[in-house]
Amino acid sequence: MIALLFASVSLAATELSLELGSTHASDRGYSLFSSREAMGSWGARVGFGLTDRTSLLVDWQHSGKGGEVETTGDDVDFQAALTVDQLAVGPRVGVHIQNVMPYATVQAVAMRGRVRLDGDRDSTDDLDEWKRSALTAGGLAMGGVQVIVGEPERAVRLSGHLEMGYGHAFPLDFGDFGSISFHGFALRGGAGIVF
Amino acid sequence: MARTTWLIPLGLMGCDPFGHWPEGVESIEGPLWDRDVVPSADGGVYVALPQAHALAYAAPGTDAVRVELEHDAEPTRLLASPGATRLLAFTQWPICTAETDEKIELVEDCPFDSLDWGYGLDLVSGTDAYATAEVPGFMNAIAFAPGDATAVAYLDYESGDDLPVDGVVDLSQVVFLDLEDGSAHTMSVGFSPNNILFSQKADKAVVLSRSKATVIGLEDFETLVTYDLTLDADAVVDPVGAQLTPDGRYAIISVQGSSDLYTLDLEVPHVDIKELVAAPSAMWVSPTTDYDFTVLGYASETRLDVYDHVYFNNQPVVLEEPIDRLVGADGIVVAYNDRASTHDIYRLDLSTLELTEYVAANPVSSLEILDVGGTPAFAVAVLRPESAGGSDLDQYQDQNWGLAVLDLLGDDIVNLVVESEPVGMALAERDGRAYALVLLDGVETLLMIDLAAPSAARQIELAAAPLGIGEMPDGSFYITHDSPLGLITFLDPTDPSSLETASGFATLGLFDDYELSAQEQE
Repeated sequence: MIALLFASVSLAATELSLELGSTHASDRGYSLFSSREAMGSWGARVGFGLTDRTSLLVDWQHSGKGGEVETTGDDVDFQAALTVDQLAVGPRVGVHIQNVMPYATVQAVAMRGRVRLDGDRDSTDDLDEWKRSALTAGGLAMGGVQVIVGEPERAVRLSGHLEMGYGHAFPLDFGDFGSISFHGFALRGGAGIVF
Repeated sequence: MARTTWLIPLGLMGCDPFGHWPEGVESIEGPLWDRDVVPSADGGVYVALPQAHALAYAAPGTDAVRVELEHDAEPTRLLASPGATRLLAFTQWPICTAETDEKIELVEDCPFDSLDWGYGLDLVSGTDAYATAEVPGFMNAIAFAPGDATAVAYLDYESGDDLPVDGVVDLSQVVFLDLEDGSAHTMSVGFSPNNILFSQKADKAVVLSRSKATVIGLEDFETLVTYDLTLDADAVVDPVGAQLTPDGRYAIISVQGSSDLYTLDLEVPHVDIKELVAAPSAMWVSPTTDYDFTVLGYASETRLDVYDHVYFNNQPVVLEEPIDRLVGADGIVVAYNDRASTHDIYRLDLSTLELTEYVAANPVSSLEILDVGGTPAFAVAVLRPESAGGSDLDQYQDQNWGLAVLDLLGDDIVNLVVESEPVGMALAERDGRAYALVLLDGVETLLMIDLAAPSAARQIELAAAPLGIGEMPDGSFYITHDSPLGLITFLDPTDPSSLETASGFATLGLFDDYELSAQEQE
């Protein structure tokens, strides 16, 4: 009976999901782009089944923050934009209880950040537009639940997942601009297919 | 399919579908850079960055450099020494006095009521802070002695700055500074010392405070003599204008709201008080012995009083209209009124005491004199709008800002109308020709006016609307712009077509955490 329960879904299947996410960002530099202490993101993840209980997750998240920055005591505003792409890769280990799968995952994260600052949106000269980019690495440790909807014998089934945990990345170093750090609570949730 | 799906996120990372600007709106307190920049003899300017709590050095053609200050301090006011060979930066740095076992590194982590400040004065040469002087936090002004070796820090209360009080504040203090090593010598000289004069030999200073003048030797910082400006303890005498005669013997002092003129004899200590016809509104003391006069003007009297420095005899000169401003140059004094609606500008020849009257089209807002070949040849006045009157063309001129170019070698005056309010003006002599460089509010051009033929101004395109203009030690100019991320144009008047810029320096350290002073944490 127990064997039947755990075998109802195989982690050896392939998963493709679209995701929304959030990463804690209580960094002074980040406050230029958002007054919230979290960076919302969207993306996609792919899971490759390895064994019945393990799979390899590849997760990509993108975030674009910023806009117009008003400065009190100054007549002129400027534009600021921060885009962050995260690529996370790591194993997932879970157990199946019918269509529900609690799991844990640790992932190595590669993070790319790009910053644009523009003092005059109407002009295109390089006197008032500045760009920097940075690469860094980090890690994620998360626990979550995946729910798979549909008969086990169907080739393609719907799935949903919610996971949370802790993430830490080394600071994104934007050179003379300074650096921005992301670390703390991380949340991901999404829906997709399993085949 | 499974073998290729992992390529999807990699492919998305490679493209850039996010070229548009996000639509958020954020706000930060205060500008990224302080437009009151300070020139350096090295060819760049120093800029305070309030958001980054830092000091930057920006020069044309190179990346801006952060100047590391002692205690990781942030600059609150910048001043250049004469010749701009040194920068004096009043600084402050955050200290957390909270008693906790945890190490607090960021200002934001320190309880508000435990946040304290340290204050100092950093001395900078090039991009190196080479010394720090202990100067009380309430002081905000510097007077430089001739020779670039000594300066005095004091409180300029009229500046309107906040007055940080840490425990006890002695408002009678001044601090003498050795600019070579930053060593400081504090003295109490009298309440509200705010006017400091130096002898040309830089061997003594006269510090004026309320009802008192103190002469201090700069060799050993000893008080040589103290003059009481009143014998009545209830009376208050606040010096407002003071100059030393060029031989250094006399200090001539005018007093707020008083028609008394004080003359302190610094060699044979005594005070002479002259009764003037009214409280003077302007005083000019010749800087050289060639024309050894003190000239006084009055907002309430139509006259100038000219006192020689030998017998202090007065030779009054009658005007048609009262004045409240005097600008001197070699052998002449130019008088005008920047508050009244009068239009007269007077040139007084100090060798003959002959008066020449010029009539500007509009009231004068400010005026500068330019020497050409060592002789004061031109004066340029900024004219402000006034209530319209007369014919249509008169009305047009009255209603607009203008410039007046005065030929100081003759009696010609040329009145010009300008597009908007001048926000900056500088005069320059190059190769025997005289120019006025004028910046207009909201206009992205620099007007370069040949003062010998002022009607045809050359317009030089600028990268952005200007805010102000200042002169570099080498005679070139810098122009600050209304650019949020930092923009300064450097202009050589001999080659006005080759403008150089320094930009983006306000982004320096923009993302950095606001850290408590590292030294205080140890």
